[in-house]
Amino acid sequence: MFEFEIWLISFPPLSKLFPLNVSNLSNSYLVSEDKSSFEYRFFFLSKGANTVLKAVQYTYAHKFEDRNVYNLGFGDYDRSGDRIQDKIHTNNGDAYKVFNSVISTTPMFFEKFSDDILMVLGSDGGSEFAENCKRTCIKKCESFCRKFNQRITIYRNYVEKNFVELSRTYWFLGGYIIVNTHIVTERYILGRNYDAILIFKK
Amino acid sequence: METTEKQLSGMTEAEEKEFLNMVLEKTRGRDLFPEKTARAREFLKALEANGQRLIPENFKGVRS
Repeated sequence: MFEFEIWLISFPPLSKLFPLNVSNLSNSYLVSEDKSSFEYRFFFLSKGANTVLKAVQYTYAHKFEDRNVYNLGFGDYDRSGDRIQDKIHTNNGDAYKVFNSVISTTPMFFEKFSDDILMVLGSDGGSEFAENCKRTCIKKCESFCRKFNQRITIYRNYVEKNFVELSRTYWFLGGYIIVNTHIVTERYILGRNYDAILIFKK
Repeated sequence: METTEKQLSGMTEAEEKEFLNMVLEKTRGRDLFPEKTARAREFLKALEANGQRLIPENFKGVRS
């Protein structure tokens, strides 16, 4: 059995955790957190047009070069079905506040797992998503699906806008998936359309 | 879903904390994103199989 620590917290002052000007992140929801050695999980309520339960989870994925790599998952938690919906657009009218709430958990992750690596992939970036999207597309998708990789683009945009300040604390890598299993990582270069972002503390 | 949303709205801060704590307890120990975790694993294993480093060799200043 794993040992768990549970805290219910009001959101801590980000300035203590994130040494950069993230005043925009103060507009985020109250989050609750639960940590084990294999995962670090948060829940919060999005209060827009509807009240929607959101889950953020950092899950251990693999050990690589003596570092644990954790993957970031984010989505709506459907209590009745007891499952996550991470491929839908909630359209709750509070997208920025929700995104801030997700991003605001990242410094907490690095507080707990300071030697580890965080990996961010979009839930709409897999080959299954692209194939399904092409079948059901209503937005004139021709050779590619317009919805493909939209989510990683949101994270990339955040990194790009805050790159100088974030780079004081974190290293960033960008990952490409070239023809299914051929994968390349490199030091993050602004403007490149990466399929994955990898982050670790300096 | 409609019923769920109505129940979630209008909670006091204390009720909200209690509710979130209950959800944490209910989902404890489970990977809520198994598909995404599997994709991340595939990505990393493919990188490993290609004989590539996760952190590029020319990445100065990073401890290995």
